[in-house]
Amino acid sequence: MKFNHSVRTALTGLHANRSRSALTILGIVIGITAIILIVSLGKGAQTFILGQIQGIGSKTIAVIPGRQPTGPSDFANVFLDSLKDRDLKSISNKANVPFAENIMPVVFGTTRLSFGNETYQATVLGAGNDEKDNVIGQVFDVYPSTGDFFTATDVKSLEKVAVLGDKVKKELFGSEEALGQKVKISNTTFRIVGILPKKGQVSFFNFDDMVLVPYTTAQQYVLGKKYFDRFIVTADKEEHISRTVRDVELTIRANHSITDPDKDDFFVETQADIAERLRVVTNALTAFLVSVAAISLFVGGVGIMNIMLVSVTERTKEIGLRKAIGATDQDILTQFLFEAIILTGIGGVIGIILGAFFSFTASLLLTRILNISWTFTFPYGGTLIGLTVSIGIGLIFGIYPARQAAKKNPIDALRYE
Amino acid sequence: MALLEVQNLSKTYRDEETETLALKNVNLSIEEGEFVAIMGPSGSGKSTLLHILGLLDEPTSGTYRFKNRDTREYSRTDLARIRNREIGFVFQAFNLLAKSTTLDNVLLPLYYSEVNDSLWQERAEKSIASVELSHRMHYKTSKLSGGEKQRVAIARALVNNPPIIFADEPTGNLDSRSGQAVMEIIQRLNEEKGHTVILITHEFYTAEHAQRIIKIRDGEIASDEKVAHRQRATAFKK
Repeated sequence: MKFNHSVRTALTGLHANRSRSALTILGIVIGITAIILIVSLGKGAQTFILGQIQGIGSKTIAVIPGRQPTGPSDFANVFLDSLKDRDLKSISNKANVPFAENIMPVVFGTTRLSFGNETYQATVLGAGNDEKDNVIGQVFDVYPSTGDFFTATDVKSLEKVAVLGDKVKKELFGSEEALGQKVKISNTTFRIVGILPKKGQVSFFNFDDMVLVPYTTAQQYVLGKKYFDRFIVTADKEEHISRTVRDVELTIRANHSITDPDKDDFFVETQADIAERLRVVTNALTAFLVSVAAISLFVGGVGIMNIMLVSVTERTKEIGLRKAIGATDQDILTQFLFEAIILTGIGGVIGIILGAFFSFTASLLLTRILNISWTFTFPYGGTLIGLTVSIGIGLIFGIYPARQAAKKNPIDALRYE
Repeated sequence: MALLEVQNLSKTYRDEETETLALKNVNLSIEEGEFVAIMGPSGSGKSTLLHILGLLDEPTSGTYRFKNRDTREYSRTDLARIRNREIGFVFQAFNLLAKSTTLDNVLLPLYYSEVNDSLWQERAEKSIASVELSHRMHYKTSKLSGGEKQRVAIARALVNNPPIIFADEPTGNLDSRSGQAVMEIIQRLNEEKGHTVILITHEFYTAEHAQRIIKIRDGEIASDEKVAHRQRATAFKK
């Protein structure tokens, strides 16, 4: 029997049992919809998160105090004060870290801001550099829309100057002019020198909800810390990233008299590390959810097998007739297998369309309502997998009923009542 | 040389613990172009014999030579091919696909044949025309009368132009007028087109349309005689 006629015969058979066929594929539709939705949303989440990270540039290296967590029970909260001024001086020395382009120490903490009667809780980010202006802008790719960042001189002389994030400005000043105004941060009066434009999330910093001050000032007047929460180092070229990481590690290790790297009281993280770790996490999460959805596919497959077996029994006489007029075992096997594959294939296609539709709707909602820059990507990979899996299910769960059909003896099948 | 030849053929049905001997020691041969009626009361084994002759069933013992070759030498696939090309079946219960049209039912054997599919439509239409059902071409067969259904079944049996026609009580479910029309077609197939016809019936009148009557009783051949006065089937007797 020719291929196109096998397909036609199978389609005729399915058409004759329309409502049953539709109910049969429901399990497959739900399973594939879930998988496509999960894969698509997972991809969207990954793109979103990685986009955040890439906001700070791939040449960025973060030196973080404490011990790098090695497992879920190992929280890195020892040595949180390990990065000191001395370390900053050493890594700023060109002889120690030759390929560092920018070095920016960072301190942060939550604090209360007030202007007149308005108060607002925000994150204070102490940053900057005492030798170069505009380091913040270069590292984070954010620039004030009004005013300017504080200068290296401001940093050196512990000036009480601040740059406000968009949301902080709106909370305290509404639509009024803020530049040049005095604002109280932890009971110290600061002069506002710049306002950041609405920026959203950049890496793990939400600049909208932040107030930026010189790190020296932040340490002294706001947070009362003698140490740093981060050193942000940028390498001059992509290919110098790993070299710079090593130089930084060796320098700080020497400062802290550490010989065994396992005993480090700090760790260095590159953007690539973070990206990779997040990729692994989101992939694992996606895989987990997909495997949950796969259970429904399996159940759907069993449903297909069940219905096909019923169908084979019901159509025993038809099988007998077909055999009497010349259908071979192979022809009958093909017919029923095609019915199963077409059923699951159709289920797969419907599932893909539904999954993509839901995912698209979700991305619209996220963008419109939650204001997140979420991009919908059509899950081409997921589609391919979805189709393969659904057809595969048809094959796996269809083969047994089809075999049962093919095995029948023509006369037994014809006589069946 | 005989077209079909059986020797010492027996068939036993085994059902749990009871054994039923449906055919014992049957010997017979049928020549090309013959019109043979197999007669007997129900339960006599005549259907079993037809099923074995039609390669739908296998004998328990004895040999069956189809076109001078022992049927045990054929694989299941070979048997399917022979049923498709050499044999046309007409059943008492018609065995049509009720939800399909006349045309689709008649096309069915062509799907399993090696006939080039560009010829299918023409062949099927010709076959339907030969049983005078062209006006019912696109009717679902469930909508047809009993006589029409049986004529569709005959058109289906003829579409691959098989040399042998097996008819199992073809008039059993029909009124006498429709039965006559069917018998006329069958008789014509034998006389004008040269098909070998093997017909099963329990009615003597129907059997007399054949050239030869084999009577079966309790699984054994009781008699095997030429028909002296053959009936002429005319569909519309005045």
